[in-house]
Amino acid sequence: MMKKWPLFLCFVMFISGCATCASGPLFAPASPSPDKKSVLYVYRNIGSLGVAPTVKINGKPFVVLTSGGYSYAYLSPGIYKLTFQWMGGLGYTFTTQIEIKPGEDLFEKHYSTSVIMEDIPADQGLEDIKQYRYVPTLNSDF
Amino acid sequence: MSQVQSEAGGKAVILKKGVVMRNVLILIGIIFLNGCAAVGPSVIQTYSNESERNQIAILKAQQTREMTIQAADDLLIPASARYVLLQPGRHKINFMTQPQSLMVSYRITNKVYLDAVAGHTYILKSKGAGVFLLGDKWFPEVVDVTDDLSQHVSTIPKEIETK
Repeated sequence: MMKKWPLFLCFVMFISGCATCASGPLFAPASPSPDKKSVLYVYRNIGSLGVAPTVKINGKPFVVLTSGGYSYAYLSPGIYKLTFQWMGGLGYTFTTQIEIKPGEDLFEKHYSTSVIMEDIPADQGLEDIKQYRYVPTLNSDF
Repeated sequence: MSQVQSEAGGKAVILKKGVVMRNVLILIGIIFLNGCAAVGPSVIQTYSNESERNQIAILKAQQTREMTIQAADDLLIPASARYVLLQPGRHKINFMTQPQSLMVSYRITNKVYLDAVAGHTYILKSKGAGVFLLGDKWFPEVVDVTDDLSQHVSTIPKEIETK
């Protein structure tokens, strides 16, 4: 009986890991905004462990970003505060600022292991994000 | 004949006026040179033409262990720099911060944007990490201290990094 504990533990870890994996459709570029807003793509490194963070734009919830997931928002040019928040703010919170330029899409990649967010150039980002899966947004108006 | 008398070691010493004047001049020279000798980053060079100051913004870089400005618009800023001169407009400021609590310490590189206005002085300030490092208190804000006379830099500092 005692020998079954490790197997059970592995099963629980496997199940909880799957709960934070993106399962939506594979990446497809966002359709152009009718009011010519730029597109911000946010994606979370495949294989990221732990609880999925809530991503906020200027303090407003945007998406709960699971591992291997991506989402996007249409934004007007300007400076925005991008926040990754774990456990409703009881855990670690990572904040950065991004600049949305007119007519330029921006890719923000989050690496959970180093708690770092990186600006990815649009051409590189389009290539990198292809294997990520869509995660529905909580809000679309920012 | 005018003389100055002083006491040194209990003995009366009579000094002639010329000697006194020489000593005063030496003293003034020492004070003057002492002022010039402080060529460290804290020295501020005064320009007679104030319009030069009015054409730029200054970011005061309070380089501490907790907060270091690393780059401005991808131009590296040395750790010894106290000031960053900025053209008016938007700038990307990269910084490194080490928020620390009783439980954990992070080393984070990050960026903020600053819309610099000519003639203004700014400081990058962090609110601190707190005991349990909750939230994003560590994320710094760019504070405009132009109206605070104790913080405002009215003249162009000599030791600066320019962008």
